Amino acid sequence: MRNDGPLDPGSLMEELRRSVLSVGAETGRLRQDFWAASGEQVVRAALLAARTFGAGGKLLAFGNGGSAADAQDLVTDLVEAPVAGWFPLPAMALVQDRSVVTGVGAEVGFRHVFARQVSVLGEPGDLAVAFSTAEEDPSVMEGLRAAREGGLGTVAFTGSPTGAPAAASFVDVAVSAPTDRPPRIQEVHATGYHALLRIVQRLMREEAPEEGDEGSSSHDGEDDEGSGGADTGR
Amino acid sequence: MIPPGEIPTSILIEEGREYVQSVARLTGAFLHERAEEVVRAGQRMAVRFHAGGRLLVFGVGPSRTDAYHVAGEFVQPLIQGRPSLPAVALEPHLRRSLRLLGRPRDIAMGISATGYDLEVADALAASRARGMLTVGLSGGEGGRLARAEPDHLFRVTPGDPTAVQEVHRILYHLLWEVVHRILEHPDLLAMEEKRA
Repeated sequence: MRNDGPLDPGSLMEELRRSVLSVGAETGRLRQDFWAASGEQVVRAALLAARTFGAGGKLLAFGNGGSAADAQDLVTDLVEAPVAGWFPLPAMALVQDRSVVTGVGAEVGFRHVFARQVSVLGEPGDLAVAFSTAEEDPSVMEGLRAAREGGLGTVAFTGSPTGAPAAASFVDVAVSAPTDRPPRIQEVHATGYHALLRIVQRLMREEAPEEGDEGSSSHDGEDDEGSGGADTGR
Repeated sequence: MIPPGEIPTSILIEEGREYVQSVARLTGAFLHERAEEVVRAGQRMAVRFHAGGRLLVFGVGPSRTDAYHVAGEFVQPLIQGRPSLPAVALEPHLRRSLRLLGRPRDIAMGISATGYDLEVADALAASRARGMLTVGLSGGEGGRLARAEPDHLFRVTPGDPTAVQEVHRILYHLLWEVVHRILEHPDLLAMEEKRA
């Protein structure tokens, strides 16, 4: 995107306006391609999540930089259920406690910040969801590896489908983005987990009527009648 | 590998597709309509950064995480080689934080996906009164942010909160890109500063 040509303010502004418009057009194409290539993976991830919640498990989310905000946002949307009719669901983001993140980072090494939390907070049957735009992402990889070792399910939202997080043997479901531009990857991830949330809520609604809540652990909202589920864990 | 649920997968895929398409339509329409103002707002932000200003960003509810995202991306750019720019996400007690930290040459960005957040609107109004450049990202039915009369208001409507949030994300990524592109042209900035 660098422009070293002679300065013409008018044309620079016009060029920027056109590039904003082209991102708008690209957004539609990108989402169409994304859903064609990865819609099925999102559904698989949603089934894993619904089964986790149905069996009383919880979701643990993590990622670095902008992807840390994704982890927090996904957890906020699960716990606070901001759309009418949604069930609050148990989830925690492993990026929020500054003392834990900086403590583990400084004392043990940053690559262990998520793995450490996954090993002490995760329980068999829980689901780990990681976000990464990078080809290599050591702390995310270690977190996913620890999740698999602890008997958790693993979902990775990734950039390239051939990058390390997507290709890792310890990832159950990888949802990749059909672009190599980091801002666009993050935007597609938001679409992906928001679609996932809708499918999860749909699945929880389906399970809701007959079942009691003996199998679930931490529904503390007003919608507790919706928390039961007959599915066993993985 | 995954036992089929009660609902056929094809129905779940369609449910997701509907949402994905709604986001694509909302974004396309919004950017088509507001492209020019995105560039103008980015240009004014660049002028502020160039003059030593910094970005104070805040959000309430689900938009709180967007504030962190914005600050993170200005300080540690997503695209290698771009300079780090001063930005900080404010925690609660927005009005007080702004009074203590905000300087007239700074930029305030307030984000509220519902548009109902009084605290964000108040903080934007207070920032504007201090002479800061104010940018509001809102959506849905709530018109609170409009009452603060920020210099630039991007209200995304209609749309449910998660779709609005996605347009906000695309919007602040674009503002970020415009800021960086314009900062590559100091002559243009000097000209703008004279005009301002």
